[in-house]
Amino acid sequence: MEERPAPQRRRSARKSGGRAGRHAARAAGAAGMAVHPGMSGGAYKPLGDRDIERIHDAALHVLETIGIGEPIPEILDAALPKGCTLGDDGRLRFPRALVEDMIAISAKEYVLHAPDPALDHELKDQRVIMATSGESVQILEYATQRYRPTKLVDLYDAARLADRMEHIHSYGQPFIAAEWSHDVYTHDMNIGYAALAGTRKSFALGIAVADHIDPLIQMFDLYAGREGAFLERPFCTFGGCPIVSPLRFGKENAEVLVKVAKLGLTGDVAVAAQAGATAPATLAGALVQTFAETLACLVVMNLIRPGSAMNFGMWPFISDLRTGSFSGGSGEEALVISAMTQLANHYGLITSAPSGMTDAKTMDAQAGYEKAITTLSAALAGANMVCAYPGIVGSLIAQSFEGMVIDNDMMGAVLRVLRGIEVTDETLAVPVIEKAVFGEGHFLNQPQTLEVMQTEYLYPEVADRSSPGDWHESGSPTIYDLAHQKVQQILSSHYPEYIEPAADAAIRDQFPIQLARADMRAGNGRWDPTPHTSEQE
Amino acid sequence: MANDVDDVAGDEQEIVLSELPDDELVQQMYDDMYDGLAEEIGESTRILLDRGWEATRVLEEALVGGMNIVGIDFRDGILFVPEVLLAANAMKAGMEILRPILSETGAKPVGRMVIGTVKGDIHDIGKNLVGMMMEGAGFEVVDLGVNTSVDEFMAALKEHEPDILGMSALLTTTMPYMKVVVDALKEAGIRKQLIVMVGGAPLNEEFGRNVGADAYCRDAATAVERAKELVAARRAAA
Repeated sequence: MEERPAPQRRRSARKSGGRAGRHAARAAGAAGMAVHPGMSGGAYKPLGDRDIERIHDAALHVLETIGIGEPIPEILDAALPKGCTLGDDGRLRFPRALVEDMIAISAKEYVLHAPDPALDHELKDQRVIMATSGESVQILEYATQRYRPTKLVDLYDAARLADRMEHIHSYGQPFIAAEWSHDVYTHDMNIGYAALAGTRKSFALGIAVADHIDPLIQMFDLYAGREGAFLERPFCTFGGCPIVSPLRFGKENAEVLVKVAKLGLTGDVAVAAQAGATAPATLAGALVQTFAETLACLVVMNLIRPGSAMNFGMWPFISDLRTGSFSGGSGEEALVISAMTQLANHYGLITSAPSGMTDAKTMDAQAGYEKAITTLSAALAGANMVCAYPGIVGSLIAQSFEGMVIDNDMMGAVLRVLRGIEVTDETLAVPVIEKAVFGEGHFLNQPQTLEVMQTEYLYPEVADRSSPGDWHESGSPTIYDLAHQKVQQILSSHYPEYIEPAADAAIRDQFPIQLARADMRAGNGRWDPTPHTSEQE
Repeated sequence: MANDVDDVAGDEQEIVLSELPDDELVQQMYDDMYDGLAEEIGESTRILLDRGWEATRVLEEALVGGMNIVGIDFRDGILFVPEVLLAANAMKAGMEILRPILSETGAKPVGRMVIGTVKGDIHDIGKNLVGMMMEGAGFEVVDLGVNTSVDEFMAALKEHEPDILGMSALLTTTMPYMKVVVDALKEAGIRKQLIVMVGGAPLNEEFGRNVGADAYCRDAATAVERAKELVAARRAAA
């Protein structure tokens, strides 16, 4: 009998920790293993170089000759001394050279800060992150399949849910708190509070009253523990749509844009002309007009504060000309958002692009394909911030929590496409093929398989890959049902305490916070499992 | 990110297996099995034997106990197939030490299985997976490969006298052949001595019943679980 090896000091090189270690690792998620925020897009280019030049020329011609109507006084004060002209028709016209200068001096990158610095993102080049977006007004309820008005507490829940979604990198306010729409100050303070309380990701608020920005900053300073802290690391962007198409300034949002520029914050605009209704029906024409409109915002910001950063949110939308109504999910939409991304990237601008805006009323197959083609297009085109509207349904009218979970899977898959295929000596795997063919005839126990199983592949959270038999046995759930279980699981348990108690007390003391503390604790009844849902196992 | 995982896993701790008391050593074996550490499982198996443990006790308490945990976490989607195969490999390292002792002492093995893909079918990845997982669970597996005829099955059954016959098929055109084999078992009067398990992508419970199998197994983990149950039930009845 051969000699036994002497008892050895053992130290596992590859992995150890047994079951507890693996459980912890799996629970921590696959974050960053197969995909991560900030991967580069830019491969999809629907426009030719000459097309870009022509759209550019046409847009600058529009700004120079047609101009933008209804400029607010602060914009006039900044623009007129720099050579812009105000016509008898009340329209502000922008000289071509000025526009080109402003494009040149505008910031081409910035750090999108988050309350948790580990979740900061650098927006530049054609790096892609994914965000929620919206300002819709209704919630699609799973149990009833009815739309109902959104409430403040829903907004808090949406932030908590987004907080847990791996492929949502930034949280844009997805809907309004409809019960406070009569009191905009209370509304705006509370949407800020709901975001702070629910997520540690960077967030964006739709603010239409410039005077509400200072108090919000004050609230964020209380959260951060010191005056001035927010402006050093602004983890919230304020924005809206400063343009009313075609080619007019919208007073309130233009004031917000000016205010944001003065504070040195990043502008967040969404210029959303609708092709066929508020922009030309030709897709090229819609691009020309929205490019001109979004450039006007960029020029304004940089006239007020040279070097300003702005999410270049040139968001041409589509009309269904059979009815004239907005359509968010179509091949045309996928095309124009990719084209606008390509256009903005051509100048190195920081781009935000909308996607995922399905016209389906619920999270059905129509929603699936409309969301996927638009999100994939925007990401492949290289939009810095793909505002993928996870969970949005009904042509931007309503938000579905289950939809957010399903779209998180979709966004992950899109990011996986974006990452592409690494071709190296190792990944070509010729020796591995040889070993398998002349060995056991398969690859399942090849060390390489083990090594790459979580880096080469991204596993969906709710997409069902079980066998038809298993599926049938578990009650034939749709992805919508599975997503609901996930929503319930997260929202009944994930009650983070992101706001320090002392800061919370100070905020509640100074602001009319309407989110009851009882609603921010587990067991409040909102997300307790309902008896009619079929629970697995 | 990866570092966090390592921290959780406590990669830096050093353990001297021979210095652990029995209960801690068994717990460590569960972890080592989980982590697919074949060498360590071999070493721990020897240590337990040296301490006077019966081979059957080492098998049941340490090795099978460890693989049970692996099976549960595979079923629950925590462990991936490559990880389970690595664990099964570690199990095999322990089994290799135990098997000669077990056969010397005449102890009953966990069970023996003859497995093959039926005639006309050469799709065997699922069958291979079942074989590996069964071995990992301590079963002795005789793999007849692909395109296995009734005669080949019958000859192997006669030679190896297994507890279980496993058949797999991927094609709807070849799966009816399972009934041909089961009918041959009946004709030879040996059907009742065997546990017949079937599996393959196009099969289902109903098909399993119709061909006269004792169990349809939708995946390798289920196959191991059902095999253990059925062997235990059969032995209890005997």
